[in-house]
Amino acid sequence: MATIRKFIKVALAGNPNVGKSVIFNNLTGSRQHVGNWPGKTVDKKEGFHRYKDKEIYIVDLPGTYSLTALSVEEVIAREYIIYEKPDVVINIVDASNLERNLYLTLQLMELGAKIVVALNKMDLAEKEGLIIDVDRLENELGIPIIPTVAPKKIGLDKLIKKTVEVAESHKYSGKIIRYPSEIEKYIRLLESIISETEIKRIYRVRWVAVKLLENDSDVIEKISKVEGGEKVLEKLSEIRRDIENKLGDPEILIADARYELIKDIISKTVKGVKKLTASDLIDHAILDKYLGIPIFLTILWWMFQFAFIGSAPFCDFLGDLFVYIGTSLEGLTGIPYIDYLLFGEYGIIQGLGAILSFVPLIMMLYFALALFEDSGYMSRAAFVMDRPMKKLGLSGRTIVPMIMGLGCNVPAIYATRIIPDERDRLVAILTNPLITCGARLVLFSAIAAAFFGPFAGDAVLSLYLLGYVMVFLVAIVLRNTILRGRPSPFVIEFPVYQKPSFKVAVVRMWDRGSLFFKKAGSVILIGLLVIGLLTITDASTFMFTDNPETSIISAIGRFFQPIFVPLGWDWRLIVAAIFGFVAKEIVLGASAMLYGVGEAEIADMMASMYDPIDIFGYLTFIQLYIPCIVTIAAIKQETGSWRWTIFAVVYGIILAYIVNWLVLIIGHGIFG
Amino acid sequence: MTPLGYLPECRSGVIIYIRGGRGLVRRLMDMGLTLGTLIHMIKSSGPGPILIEVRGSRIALGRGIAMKIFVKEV
Repeated sequence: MATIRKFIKVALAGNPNVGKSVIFNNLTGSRQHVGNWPGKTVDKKEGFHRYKDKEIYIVDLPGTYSLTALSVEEVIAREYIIYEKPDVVINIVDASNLERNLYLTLQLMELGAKIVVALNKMDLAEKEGLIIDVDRLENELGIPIIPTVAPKKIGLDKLIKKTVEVAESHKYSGKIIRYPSEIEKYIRLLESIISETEIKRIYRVRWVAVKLLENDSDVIEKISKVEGGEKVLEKLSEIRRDIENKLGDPEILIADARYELIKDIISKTVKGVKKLTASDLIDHAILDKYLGIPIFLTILWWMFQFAFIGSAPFCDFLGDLFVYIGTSLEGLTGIPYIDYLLFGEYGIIQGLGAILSFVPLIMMLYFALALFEDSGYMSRAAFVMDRPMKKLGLSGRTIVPMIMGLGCNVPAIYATRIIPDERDRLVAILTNPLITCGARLVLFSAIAAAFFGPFAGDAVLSLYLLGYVMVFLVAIVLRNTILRGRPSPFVIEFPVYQKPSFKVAVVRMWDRGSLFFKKAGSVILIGLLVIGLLTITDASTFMFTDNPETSIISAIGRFFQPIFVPLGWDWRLIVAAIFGFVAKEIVLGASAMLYGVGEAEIADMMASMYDPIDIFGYLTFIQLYIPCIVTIAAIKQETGSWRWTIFAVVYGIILAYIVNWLVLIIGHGIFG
Repeated sequence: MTPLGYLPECRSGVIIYIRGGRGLVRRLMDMGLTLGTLIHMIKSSGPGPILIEVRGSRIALGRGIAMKIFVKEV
């Protein structure tokens, strides 16, 4: 009796912008999960699809143009195929852009995976005047091809049916890609040498041969560790030298040969010429050298309006709700210590509320950003901003997180994922907390109103500008010291504009939002707990106290006071700054509590104690110092390193201190 | 032979030489820019990046790279 196989492992592979996410979402529906690839900051999406009696496990590999070892995404994709051995790889190909897309298909075939091609965006190809002979294409490549239109779910049933069929068939064999005979002869030679070693047990021999000729650093390193690998590599350098002398760079020769093969296939299977599309016409306006930047800023402004206005009622509601829960539960346990810690004004529930009230804003920003990405505009924005940003040592794409930071630094730090180069991305992450977020705005506007009267608006604006100036200064310094180097060269594909999919945007918003809360949740809770405990524990008796003046936190404040004497702070301002570590909006409420007045009177109270220059200095400090705890959690998650996280915190404090001090020197110098 | 950066809009050229390190050449190759490839210039104004059509796709390149790719106008 034949055993029926019930579990099938499938990987989705394809170029960026081919509609991979839409296919993944349509296949898995709500049965999906987002995480990170182990040790990497690349999203790993997994899900399940049920087909008859079969459970199909689907993993969405990162979108790549190739399978060289050039980027993290490419290494992840190919290692998954080599080591996890999916039963089938569904290669999603953009029918309107076949020539470039097939380059990846050929490499997948070389890897030896069983492939089913989803020829997606068939409607777009037709609209552009291309006629594709699918049967012929299937013959030429020797792999099954299913035409699809993902957003309309056309062809997806067939795709799954075919995938299951291929997974269960033992007869599947894709065509072997043949290179021109002068190269082929060297590949064969290498193959025969590799076949004599242990390598053949782990890898597909022909693939290793081709990759070695391509001088793939990752494969070379792995082969050198396998028994017999050294011998192969010795022979390889001999062969490479021979090819270089006779034919030229083997790497280029192989890529050329692949493209030649593709050109040949295209000429046999695709009829019609691509017309100038509406997309090109739109680009002429959007990329205009004078209009480009104003158009970009307008779009961003609308995005922000949408996110802020759309989320405001939810944010207010959540904030109020937690205050209500906290106050109404007060006294529940009967033990003051626990009661204060849980329900008090600076207890865990209300602290959580302060942070959670920002969730709707973060979600809305994610949503707006997903629409923005999905429409195809993101790469245009990077184009428009590339030159101004490059002057500052940042890559053009950094503009997106830099703008999002105005709402909240947390989604902004996640948005740095659109920056492909690791160093460029680190610079973007480390500088982002310097951008004035929404929480700081609340604090600034309240204090500025009391101190600066008619100039309150100017004071707040100058803090915003200070933030951006510091971003650029720090970026320039980082670029010339620890993250030396110029922004990586700008090469980006422009997808054809499309109507963004509501569903994709919602899913992406949810994925990123929930991922963040899973990861950051514990850090936030611990932070709240520690600060809560410090506030309600008496510094001398270590017993419960409801007087913050005698608590450990005030002792800490007083301990650090000498350091802040040059800045003219008393211990209360120090403690308020420590509270700001949890969430910047708390600074206001915390100072009110410490000075023993209501939030409404705090500004006037402070006005009686400090002069405007001192306070402006303090605000510059709050603007620049430690990112809040949630941002720190995001930095840790995205850099994957405590070293960089600590660096971000420490340099922020030092910078804030220096700027605050300069403000006092210059301010008092001018105004006395 | 002129750098791609000097190719006027609406004109086409064939890549004959790419000056750059292995990483850059590899990356361009993966995006479809190999020697002998036909490029059509869609947008090249001012000192910013350029937009080209190559193998049926639209690709934006920084000005710096555009000056390292040499083409023969056709």
